Amino acid sequence: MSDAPPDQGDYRPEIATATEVRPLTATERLFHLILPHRALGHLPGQFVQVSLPGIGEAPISVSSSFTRTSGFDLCIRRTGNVSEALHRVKAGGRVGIRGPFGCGAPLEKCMGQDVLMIAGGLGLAPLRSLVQYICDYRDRFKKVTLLIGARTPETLLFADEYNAWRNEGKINIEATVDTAKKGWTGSVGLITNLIPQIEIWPTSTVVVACGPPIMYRFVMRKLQQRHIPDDRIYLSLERRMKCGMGKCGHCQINDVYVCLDGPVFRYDRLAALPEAVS
Amino acid sequence: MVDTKLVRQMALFEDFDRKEIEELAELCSIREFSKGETLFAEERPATHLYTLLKGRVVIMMNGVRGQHALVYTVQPGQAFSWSAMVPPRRYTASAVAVEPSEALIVEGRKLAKLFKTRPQSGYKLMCRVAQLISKRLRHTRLQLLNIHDWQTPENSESKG
Ligand SMILES: Cc1cc2nc3c(=O)[nH]c(=O)nc-3n(C[C@H](O)[C@H](O)[C@H](O)COP(=O)(O)OP(=O)(O)OC[C@H]3O[C@@H](n4cnc5c(N)ncnc54)[C@H](O)[C@@H]3O)c2cc1C
Ligand code: FES
Repeated sequence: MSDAPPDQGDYRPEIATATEVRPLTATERLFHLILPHRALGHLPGQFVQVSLPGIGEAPISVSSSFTRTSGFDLCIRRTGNVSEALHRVKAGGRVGIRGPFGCGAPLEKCMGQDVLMIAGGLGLAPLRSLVQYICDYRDRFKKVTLLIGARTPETLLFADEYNAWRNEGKINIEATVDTAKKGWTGSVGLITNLIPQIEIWPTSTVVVACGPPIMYRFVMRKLQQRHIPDDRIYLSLERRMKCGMGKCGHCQINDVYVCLDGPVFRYDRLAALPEAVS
Repeated sequence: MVDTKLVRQMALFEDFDRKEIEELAELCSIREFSKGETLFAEERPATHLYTLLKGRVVIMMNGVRGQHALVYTVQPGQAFSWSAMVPPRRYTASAVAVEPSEALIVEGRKLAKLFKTRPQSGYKLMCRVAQLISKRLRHTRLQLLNIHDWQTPENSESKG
């Protein structure tokens, strides 16, 4: 790893310091990282490649908005080699960072519009960046709604921040879980159940959804029933990635590079890529 | 007796003709429930078919050791308690209002009696009830798969 700022398109990571690490759930941790020479300079929806020497690299979405601090947050779920090792990094520890990569969320499109964000599970990690951005520039957006789905109340991410998002950000938040014990006051059931309940003006709403591909299948049906045009719906895709720069072809679907052209795509542009959301 | 307009808006009774809607309106009534009130209890005889008009109702099941699992939240506009239409007519779960709520209710046996003489309309209603049950089944399957993180025999093997 080099300590110098990287060239554009460089494969060498920069070393970032984890200034804070906190567990969010049994499987997710939130890392606050700082780069030595620069702010990350990312937009909501973009991702970085995070690495540990001798172990490997993984694409991770940035979970905070550039409007907040000089550093940035990553919410990492423990799933395999790299993420397991990252979970062992403590405050003061160092990790490699390349990026930011990808084209991010459609901020311009959302401005002056109602915004509906739909987050399934870990999908709230990238959307938190957009939520923070909206809270910080609230007057640029009209009605903002955030639908959140998780397996159980215990696996809801950033639950301690919902009140601030509701009160300061004036965001209407509805959370639903697949199962819960008595005492849970939110909804129980699929995230799609929440869509018929919200007030939607189809031609002045922009939808940004992030979650597992199976969620997109059912969410798209409900959004179409609510007559939201396909060119007002954006989905964030996940593909296996290596370079993050449109060079290696790992993330390629036909002529589309998810790392470069996405990961956030307008739904009508995915029409020619049926495997993208299946 | 409730307003026929209200009955016409219910998904269960879509496509019913004016006469049928009038007859249905005779059988329906509106009930209010306060927060925390039990609408019906698991295993009890299932008497009424409900459509939620306002508020929120949670469907819960008794688990082992007296624990309750919340399995579904009914949102306004949704029908529930299909057990009232299907033998053995026992509630398969309990329903509790988690907010002050209002529901349109109709007695299952009276519905059955009404449609006995009009099998075509009865068939239409039972198709809607079957749709309701099938939708709940699909949702339950998806919820289960989510809970188990979509672990199928194939992908759990490949994860080692
Ligand atoms: C653009 C993008 C943004 C992402 N953002 C986040 C994030 O914010 N937080 C987070 O925790 N994870 C995120 N991921 C997923 C993360 O990159 C993978 O889980 C990564 O494989 C973890 O590396 P690992 O070595 O720990 O696990 P591996 O050993 O590589 O894999 C562990 C398990 O995850 C599966 N897997 C690997 N890659 C993917 C993938 N791309 N999509 C679906 N399943 C995969 C494997 O099949 C395996 O079962 C993102 C992925 C992409 C492409
Ligand atoms: S990850 Fe290499 S082309 Fe996208």
